[in-house]
Amino acid sequence: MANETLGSDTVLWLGEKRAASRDLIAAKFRVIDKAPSGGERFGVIADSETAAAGLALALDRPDAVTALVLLGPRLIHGDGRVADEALIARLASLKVPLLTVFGTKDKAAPPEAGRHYRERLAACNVVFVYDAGAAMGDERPEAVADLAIDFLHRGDTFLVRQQSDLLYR
Amino acid sequence: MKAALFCTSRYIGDAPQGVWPVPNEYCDAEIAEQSMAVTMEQFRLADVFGFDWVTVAEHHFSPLSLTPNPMIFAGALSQVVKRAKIAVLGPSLPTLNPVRVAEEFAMLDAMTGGRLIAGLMRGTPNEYVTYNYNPSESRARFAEALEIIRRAWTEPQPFGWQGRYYQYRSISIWPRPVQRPHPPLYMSGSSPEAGELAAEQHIGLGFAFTTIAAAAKASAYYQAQCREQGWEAKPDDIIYRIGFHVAETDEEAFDDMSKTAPRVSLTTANASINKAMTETAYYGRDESQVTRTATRTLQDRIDSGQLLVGSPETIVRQIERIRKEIGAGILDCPLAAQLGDKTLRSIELFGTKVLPRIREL
Repeated sequence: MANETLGSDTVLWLGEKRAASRDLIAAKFRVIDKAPSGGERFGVIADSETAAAGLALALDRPDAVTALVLLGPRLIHGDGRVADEALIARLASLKVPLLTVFGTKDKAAPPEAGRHYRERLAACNVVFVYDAGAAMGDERPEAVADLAIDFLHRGDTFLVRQQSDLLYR
Repeated sequence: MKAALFCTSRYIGDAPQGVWPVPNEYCDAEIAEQSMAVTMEQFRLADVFGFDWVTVAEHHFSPLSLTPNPMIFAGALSQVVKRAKIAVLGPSLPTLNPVRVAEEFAMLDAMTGGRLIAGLMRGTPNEYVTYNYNPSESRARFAEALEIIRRAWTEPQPFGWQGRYYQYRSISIWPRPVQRPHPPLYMSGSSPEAGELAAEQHIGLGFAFTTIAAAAKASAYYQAQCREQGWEAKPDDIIYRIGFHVAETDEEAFDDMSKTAPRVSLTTANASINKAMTETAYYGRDESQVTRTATRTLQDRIDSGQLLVGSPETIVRQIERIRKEIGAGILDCPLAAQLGDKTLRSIELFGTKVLPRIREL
């Protein structure tokens, strides 16, 4: 797997600190809990509680934030209703690669919400984590961590599979 | 009730039986071509004589069926069958790429103007040898693939999938299905596991090559599970698959059946596969599987609800039992006998003499 193509091995973790997926990500990245103020670049992972803060940070500091991963964001509901109009109005101007992740069993941030992010920002990536609810980082930690790690490493180019399918040589 | 004609497109030449895979050195290309032409004509007649659906299915490496990809046959059928719905019952889902399955189903729905019935099967045990998948993971793969297909049909924006058995980064199929929100979905299986998943996923359930007694029990369980999930399964949600041969009289029909080749089962044709499947608990909590493949006499098979044989009058009575005991609203009927014109006559009699009398059941 290509490393640091986005230019940072640091991740700002805004989510629940006890999530099992955080430990898996910490094995690959330097995980920090506070945004550095200087010129350092870093990726950002936020969960349902901190998605607004994560998005605001990426909007405000596009030069510092390399990529943004939102796990189960509740900024837009499944029916398209918006909680914070002012913040969501800025989504279309986001310059940072964005991955929104929805658990297929999450009632508060249902997969149907994903399309609304994409309608507002065509470059937004939407991925569903199968058989996971709001606590996806604990329910399917490897699945969530692998996805986030790949996106933090490669940004939008994560669309193209790099893992080999070779059985034997 | 509704009825479907189901053809596996059986190879009409000589071929070994009781083995699987069947060596394809016995497959004569011309006879294979004729076999498929015969099937196409049978389906065309079914459409003319009022069958509600025509059904194709997936089976591999055997003269029992020349439609290893039923989607291809269904594509050809879309140009021949003008009225009936085209039921693909179905792809062996856990051994296929679910996005491809969603795409092919959507194509068929578009090509038929919304006449597709989409069945999803776990497949007979031998299918797991076909593409080299582990059968012990088949239920989990099935459940996940089903969700992917439904998402692929209904999501208006590209989405990725981080599953247990499947991973995709971006899915947005073209064409979308014509039927909204999506084509009718069925799965098959008489195990409690199948009934539970179908109820949870709010889809129809089919019982194939079983007995009335076993299907009645499985159907009652499925209907109870549906109520538990907050919905009521209707007769149209329940399919019973049963072979048929109709003639003018009972005597003639029985006489015809005595001239047909003995029934072969893909499931038991290879003892090693069957043994391995039993060890992987492939059949789940399905007790009927143990007895249903046992050899039976023709009369036994009629009495237990594995075959419809007789005059139209006799067959209507047999179907009344299925409606009453299983609650099935759809009969999926394979041809029990391949006897040329007699088989075509059987299709005609079923369509013109049986179907009108079971409509109100």
